[in-house]
Amino acid sequence: MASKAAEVSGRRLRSSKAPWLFLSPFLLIFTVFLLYPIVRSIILSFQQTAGPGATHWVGLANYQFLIGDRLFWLACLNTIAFTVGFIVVQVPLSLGLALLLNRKDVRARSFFRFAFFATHLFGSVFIAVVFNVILGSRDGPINRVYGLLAPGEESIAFLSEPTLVLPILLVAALWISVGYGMIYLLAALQSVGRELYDAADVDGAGPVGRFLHVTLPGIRPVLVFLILIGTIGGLQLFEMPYVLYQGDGPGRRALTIVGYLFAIGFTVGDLGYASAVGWVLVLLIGFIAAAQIRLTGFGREATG
Amino acid sequence: MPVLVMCALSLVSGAVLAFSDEFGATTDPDALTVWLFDPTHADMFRGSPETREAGITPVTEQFENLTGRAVDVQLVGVRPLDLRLMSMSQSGATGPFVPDLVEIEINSIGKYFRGPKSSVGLLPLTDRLREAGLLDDLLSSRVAPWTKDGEVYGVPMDVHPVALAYRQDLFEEAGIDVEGIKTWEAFHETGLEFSRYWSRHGHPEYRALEMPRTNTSILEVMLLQRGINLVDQEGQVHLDHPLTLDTLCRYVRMAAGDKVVGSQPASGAMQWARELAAGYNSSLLAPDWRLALIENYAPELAGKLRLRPLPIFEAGDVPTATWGGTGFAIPRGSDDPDAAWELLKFIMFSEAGDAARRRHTRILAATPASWDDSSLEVEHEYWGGQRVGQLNVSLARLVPRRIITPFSAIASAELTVVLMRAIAWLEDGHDPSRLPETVRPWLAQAQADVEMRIQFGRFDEPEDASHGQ
Amino acid sequence: MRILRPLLLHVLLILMAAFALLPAAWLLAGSFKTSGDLFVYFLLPWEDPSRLTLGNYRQLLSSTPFGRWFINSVFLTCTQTVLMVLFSSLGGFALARYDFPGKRPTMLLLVATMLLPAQVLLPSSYELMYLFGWLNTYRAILVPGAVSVFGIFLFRQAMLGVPDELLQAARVDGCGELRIWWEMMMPAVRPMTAAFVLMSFLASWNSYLWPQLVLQDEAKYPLPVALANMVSRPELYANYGVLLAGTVLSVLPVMVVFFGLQRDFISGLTSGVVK
Repeated sequence: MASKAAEVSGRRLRSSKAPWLFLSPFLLIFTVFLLYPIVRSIILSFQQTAGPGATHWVGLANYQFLIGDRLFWLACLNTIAFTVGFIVVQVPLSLGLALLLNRKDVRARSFFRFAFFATHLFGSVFIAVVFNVILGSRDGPINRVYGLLAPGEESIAFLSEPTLVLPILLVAALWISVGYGMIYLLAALQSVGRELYDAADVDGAGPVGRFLHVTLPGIRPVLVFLILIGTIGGLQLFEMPYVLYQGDGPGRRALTIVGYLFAIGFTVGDLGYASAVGWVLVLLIGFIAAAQIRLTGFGREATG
Repeated sequence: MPVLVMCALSLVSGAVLAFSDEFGATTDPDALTVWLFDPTHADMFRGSPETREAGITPVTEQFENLTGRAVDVQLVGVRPLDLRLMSMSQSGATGPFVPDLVEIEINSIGKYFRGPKSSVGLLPLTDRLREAGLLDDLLSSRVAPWTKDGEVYGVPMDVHPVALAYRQDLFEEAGIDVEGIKTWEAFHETGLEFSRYWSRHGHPEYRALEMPRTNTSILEVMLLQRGINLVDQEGQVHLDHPLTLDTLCRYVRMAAGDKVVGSQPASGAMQWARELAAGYNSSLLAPDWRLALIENYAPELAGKLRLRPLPIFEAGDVPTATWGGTGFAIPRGSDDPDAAWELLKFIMFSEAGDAARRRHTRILAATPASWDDSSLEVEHEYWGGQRVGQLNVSLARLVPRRIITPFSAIASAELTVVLMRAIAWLEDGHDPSRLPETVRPWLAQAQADVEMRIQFGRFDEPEDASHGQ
Repeated sequence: MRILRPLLLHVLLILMAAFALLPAAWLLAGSFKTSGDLFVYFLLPWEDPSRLTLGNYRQLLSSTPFGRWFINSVFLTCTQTVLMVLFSSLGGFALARYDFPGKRPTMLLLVATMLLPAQVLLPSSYELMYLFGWLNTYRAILVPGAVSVFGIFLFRQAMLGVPDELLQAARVDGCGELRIWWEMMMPAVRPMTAAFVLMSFLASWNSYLWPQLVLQDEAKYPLPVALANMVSRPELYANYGVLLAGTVLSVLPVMVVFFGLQRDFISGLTSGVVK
């Protein structure tokens, strides 16, 4: 379609140069600051490094070691547990909020919308500061509440408790993201045509039927989109555990895949192995994202 | 249009920055840059507000007066410092943005030593130390962690002998004489007595000893009392050593289960000191760097605390060990390594440097010659009139040799996992007498894992590559 | 029943909103309490409001170059946002409105890079900054951060929705391509632009790891780096109140930007996905 427009205008020459001209600042920066490091890190993943000038070509040894590396698999387990937990809670919760806010009898809708979304404006460093103060002390507010609920029980060192690592990370991540998902779903709900609901009413569908047969198909692209970016973001989880747990956390429960490759690169100093872990993660994300896209047919409407 | 608002804001703030005088290099471009992560060490370099007010010239200014070189001290968090230094080291960076002197945490130094000597991002200092006649002034057991293949890359700042700091008031009320305790086993018994007394008297939360359940900092101090470094100089791993097993089991028994006497500290900044004040941990392992922090963050404990040497496990153990530490190194990419060396010498070996260290810290230097100073004779009110300095000097002479290798951090992490697993096992209600046989295979597995990582991560120079460089 | 249902609904919403806002409220309240009072009163000392203090803010402003950090953050974030919008919209325009050889591979390449966690590239990117001599300068943040693959696709998607007839008419009238972009395309995707501005602003304002790595002088730090580093300042060590005050002042500007863009933002955010 776009090409048709160019033909009609009769300025082919200019048009064939124009797109590259418009893309050039982007592509220039992209090539130097993204493509070059990418190529470099692919090469590194086949090397062993120990500082400048100290590199060996090791072929596939990094990838081979990774297969038997318990820590890598532990990091995978932690990361996938987080990602699944995140999506399983975030999507329904966001949807629930959006459905509630979408009701016609809700007053002060924009206030609630702001209240739920405002948490998304906090960066992870700021969240970590707040969570560290709230959880990091025996007389912090959460321990006070806990003391009320369970009198006589000993206070809890929350951030040192291995079993609490995943819940705390999930709460922090959900606190940021639920309102964000809600905004998307709210807009999607509002774009579902009135006439579709009317038609469903004529067919005599109840509230559940309306939800299943009208609402859900209507908002499906947004749901899939949320799941997709939730998956990618979850599998790339790094900053929250990094600032909240200063590394891999008690019992290494906060060790994520990206956290692991970061630790190898910067606390062991083996850029080669770190890069190999990174590229396996890229393959993993690509595979899962592709599977999700294939299964849900996401984006077909947009490109096809 | 929001973009135009952003544009305007960008221009305005950009203009403010461009015209503000401090933009660009903070002081004169000729200044030597120092990166530190420890706030009290920053005070030691550039003075605290109090000492400046008292008219005391900071040691960096004295250096400037002497040599004409200004010193720019940057206080950086311990992780960012490590991250930046490692990145510089890996890219072989040289130039004005490379600091001239850096403080390195003792547990971080290992990773800089994984490659061949030529790829260590720090300046070799052995010859300079020897020429200045300073090498023999330093305690050799403290130089060891900063040494790779006979070459010294960092100057240790401290010895950090560990003593036991305890709440004299709480123990006395419970009828316990802590000074009389010889062994950790006896400490364990009295710790139980302590808990029993205080739970009868309204404080079930009082515990006898700070014992982290999720890191091995204190467990490793105890191992060092028995001469165990998790990885030794030859790269031998000692996770499966019988003494490691024995110490770990005793630690776990004290830290968890039916006979618990240890308390897990909360993670917040300085919480361990606050918890000492609250009685959660009525004693803790106190290297000299902790003393000033305790005084600062638990001022209400003045007169209630005492220090004593550590209990031991069995005859032959040392009643102290060492915990933590820093050293100063010159990055290889420094613009002016000679001036940096002069600064390093001035801070670490001059009268002025000694005085600054004493003014701002309670840290015993790694130079035994500085230990017969009158300031170490002082009787401290806060510690009930004890001669803290004297105690530390006597312990410092006994401090066992600490070894840091590129793989020590990995071994510590593996030990942490075993520790936590053992605690969880015990708390599940298993028979405590079966703890050793249960833990032994876990340690063996950890040992195998670390050995495999060393095998994989060790960077051997190929035989024919030596002439290439 | 008719009254009860909306009532219940609102109670539920208020409870959930309270839950969402509680940490923020605690943060705000904490920044006005002394360190001693911080944990004594759950939120505010209602019985004795005179215990509230501005001391944390005063100490923050007097003992740290907070104003300087704030301006650094404003400069870095605004500049980066402008650059991102500029380059992404130009690129998006090209991808949406032209057919040219190499378009498909280019797009595939761009999509593929979105799967890559940035930390993988950290060492190589750092090395590049060193080779360019950009370490410890704002160039190291602004230039590599000027492109957003996500942004280029958002703009492409939004610009696909602009009717062809408009464009053809403009071309027939002899409009230059650049003018078409600026005078027709940009106004047409205004809500999307607002959404993208907010998202870039957020990402840039909150970015931490890369600035922390490449900026070395404390005077150059943006807020997240400065705040994370503040924990290691002697006079602020373990002084929670000052940290909380710093966090409040760091989050405030984002709130302001959000309020300013709220209306366009919500329609724009979803235009790419919903339609």
